[in-house]
Amino acid sequence: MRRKATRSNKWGSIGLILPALGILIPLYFVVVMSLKYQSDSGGSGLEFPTRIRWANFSDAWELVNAPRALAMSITISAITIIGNLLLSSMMAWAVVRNWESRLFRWSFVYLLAAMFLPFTVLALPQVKLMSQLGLDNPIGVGILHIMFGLGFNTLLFSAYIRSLPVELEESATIDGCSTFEVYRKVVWPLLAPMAATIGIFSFLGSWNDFMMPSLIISDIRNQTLPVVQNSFNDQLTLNYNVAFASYFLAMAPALIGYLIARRWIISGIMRGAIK
Amino acid sequence: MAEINRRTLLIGAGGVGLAAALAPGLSTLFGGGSSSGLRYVQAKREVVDYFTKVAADYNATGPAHPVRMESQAGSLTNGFVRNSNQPAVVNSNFNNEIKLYVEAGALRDLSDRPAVERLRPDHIEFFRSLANFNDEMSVLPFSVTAAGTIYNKELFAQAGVEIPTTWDEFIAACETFKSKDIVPILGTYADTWTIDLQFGYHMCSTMDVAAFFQAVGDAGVDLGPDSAYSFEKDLPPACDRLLALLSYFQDGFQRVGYDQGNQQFAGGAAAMYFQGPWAFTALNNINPDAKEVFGTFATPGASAANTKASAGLDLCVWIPRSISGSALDGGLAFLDHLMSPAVIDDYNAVNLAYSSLADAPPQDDPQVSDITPLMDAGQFAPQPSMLFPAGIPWVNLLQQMTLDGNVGKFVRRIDDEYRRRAIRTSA
Amino acid sequence: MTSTEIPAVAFDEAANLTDAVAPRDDALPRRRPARAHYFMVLPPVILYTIFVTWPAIQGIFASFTNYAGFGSWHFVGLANYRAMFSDPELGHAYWFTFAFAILSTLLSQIFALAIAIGLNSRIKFKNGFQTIFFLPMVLAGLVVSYSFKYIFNTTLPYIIGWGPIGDGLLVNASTAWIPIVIVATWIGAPAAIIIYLAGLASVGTDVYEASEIDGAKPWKTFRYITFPLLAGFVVINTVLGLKAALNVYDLVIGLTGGGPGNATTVVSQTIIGGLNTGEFAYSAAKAVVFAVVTILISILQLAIIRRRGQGGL
Repeated sequence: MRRKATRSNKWGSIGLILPALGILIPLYFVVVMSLKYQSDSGGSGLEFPTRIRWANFSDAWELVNAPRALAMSITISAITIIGNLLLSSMMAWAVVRNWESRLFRWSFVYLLAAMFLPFTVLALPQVKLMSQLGLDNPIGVGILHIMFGLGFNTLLFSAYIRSLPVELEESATIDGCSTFEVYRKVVWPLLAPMAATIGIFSFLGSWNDFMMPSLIISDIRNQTLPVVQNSFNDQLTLNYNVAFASYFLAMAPALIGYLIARRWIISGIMRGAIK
Repeated sequence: MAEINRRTLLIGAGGVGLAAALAPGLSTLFGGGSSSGLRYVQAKREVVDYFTKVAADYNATGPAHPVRMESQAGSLTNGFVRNSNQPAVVNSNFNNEIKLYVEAGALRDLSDRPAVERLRPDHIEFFRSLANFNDEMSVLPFSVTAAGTIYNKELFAQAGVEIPTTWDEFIAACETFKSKDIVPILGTYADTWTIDLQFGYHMCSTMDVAAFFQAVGDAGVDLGPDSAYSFEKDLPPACDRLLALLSYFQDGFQRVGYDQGNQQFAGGAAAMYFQGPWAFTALNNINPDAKEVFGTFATPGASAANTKASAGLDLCVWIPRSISGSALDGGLAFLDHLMSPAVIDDYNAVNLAYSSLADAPPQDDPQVSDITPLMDAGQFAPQPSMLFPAGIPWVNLLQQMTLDGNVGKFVRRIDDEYRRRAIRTSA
Repeated sequence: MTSTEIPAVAFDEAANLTDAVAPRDDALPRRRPARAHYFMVLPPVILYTIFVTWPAIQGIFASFTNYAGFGSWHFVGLANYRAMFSDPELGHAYWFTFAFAILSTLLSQIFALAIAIGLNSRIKFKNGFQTIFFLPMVLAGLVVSYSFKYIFNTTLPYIIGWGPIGDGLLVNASTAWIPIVIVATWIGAPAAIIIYLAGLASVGTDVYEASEIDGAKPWKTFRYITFPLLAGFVVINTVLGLKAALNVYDLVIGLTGGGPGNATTVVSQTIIGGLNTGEFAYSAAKAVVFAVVTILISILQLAIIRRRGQGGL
């Protein structure tokens, strides 16, 4: 039995090496290309750099105005995460605790409809609407991200809340808490695990989104990190090393966040998946 | 079912209303910033530096409303759809998108500008033949270019070839070059707009382009094999010419792009090059002798009588109708500045084009002087790409035809697209 | 929003909607909802109506006009819809989008399942492998596509100088779909792996020990024990993957822009493209049809899950 155990061990590890390389090599490629001089980049581009041109990063940084684009991305993601967590959790709690009421039930189903509507089908009218409302900027994109996530996030929260014992809330009410206080002091802390999962998904969906900001945000100076890669594509690809430096800068925040918070992120997602 | 308290509802609605009202206010943090100058869009790649200087010089004179130039390429249509953050002045190539704006009445009528009285009548006519909205001056023509065949005088002399004046002579010249191991024509088919450009030459010399587009536009939903004019009936001669020339391009021309093509032609890689005067900006940069070596002649038709220059409204100025208030005042002031002889005549002299002012000095640069008489005599036709409605994938289909040589499929498909569009937009 | 996979629970719960949120049997008897509860429900509903429902209605309305997005317009009835059904570009886009979606979903699932099984077994460097395999999920589809574009256009032709790969897969209309499928799998597999891992975890190790005691070979173990127990998760993953793949946009923009010609144009592109060509109304009509198609597919998928759920996982 022990022998069988070690045998599956080896095959498993070996079998995983090839796919793992499939993931690592392109990333290695991006890093290596972003470090090289243009004249050293002939051939396959996979060679390790013999000399390093740090100016690739500063060129990319200036060309796309990376700090500003980063700020825009952060703004949208922050709005999305906060909005999603607050609105969806409160909505879910109110709906679950008032399931007998038709108004609450139908409101819930109403929001779920968005799960079936991809942004594409609403894109053009929304472009016009957001401009009319003066929201053709990162704040508008944040609002739309929240709207598209409402149905699904409320669903997740409501499933989670169902498993929470209602007695805790009842005793808080008996102790004299108002409804909002019950939510704030009793329910919200218990939601923390699910909130983490939803927060992660909100962040990833919002941070990496390309279609919505590219359409909704009208002023190119307010665009997000992925979008500026596209807007400045002509200029960036005059020198591919600068282009790759720019792609690396765009990937870096998410990568760093992932590597730091890896355990936390993975466990959060697994929890969501299991539930 | 629980009863909804009216007061609750009002308070809830008020809360939402407050948030909704705050949001635009907060979002002005991201505002376009009128303090940084009026938006002036000029995205023609070759002349970005020129106009950056024009804008800087204008701002240096201390005008009431300085301008901020933007050179980001990209469609301006979504600005009209949004109707927000519109530029105050635009200086752009006239293409089928501009045609769309004109015909939708979305551009300001500029008939009252002082420059209008000094415009060349034939340029005004030219514009009207491209698009018209209630006979308004929806754009002011700024620069008209004549595109034809750029040729290398040295290679022509070397091979003993004269400038061809008929199509047969043109083919004969190509054969002569080929026999002497000189590449007759430089092709840059990786950039599809160049295919579009030269196809325009062939359309020019095989049909009355303006009348044709007028007729197919009128045919509308009835466009088909039975109409008086159709792509299926009238386009094949031009297609045949395009395909006939493919064998005279250099090897691997499908993978060469415009920038690379300029490099190669400037270095003497071929005898002829289907491009307009804008290419000279690059050619002159690369080859110091360019002024002596290169000239332009009109791509010939069946006879000298059908030889026409392929004309484009290379630059025109316009202002969106929705611009008002101080932005409008500033925009009009800058527009008048652009149309002043110091700017418009200088631009056209430097860029080998024809100024739209009637009293401009004649364009006698040797690189385009052979084609100028045709322009002055009105022997020109519009580049067809300006007349195709946006939304018909004209250039893609054209490229496909050059790859598979299937003329019948191509022309029938264009008829279909036109008819389908007519169905959608008129009803 | 478009590039993140939705966890399994979403569809699972949606299929069993009332079960998901119904109060437990021992809940308190009916009482009027607290006022605060209204404040928690009405704002989302109102905002949603403004930002989602209202534009949807506008879009449907516009689809019956010839509105260019600006300027004057008039009603054209069903003209846009009639034009759509004879539009070869749209027809090709639908065909390509569906073919791509099915193929890339299939490949993603096969890869993800294989890798999940590998990760679940007793291997060295499990944490290291896990980190690597979940990594692509946090990257932006567009940026990844741009990077791969260079690899397919320059690096691979250099290394393998012959055949279609040597010419550059992206330049040729008949092979341009291959890199798109590869990149879609690259980005989409991590989320599927996570779900399979969760599924494998729920299967538990007892079954494996039992089968090892009985002397079963790995393949037989997989075929008769693992796969049937995971079947439910396979279905869910396929459903989610298909939906994301039908809406693909970033990848196509980054790798081919829809080209060469129209070879790799997808449905979402044909709709979005109308913004810049003055075809607002036509795009609206295409959007309505696409929404109907998407909803029908989702309903079909829910029905399949519900049947599976009733059959017992």
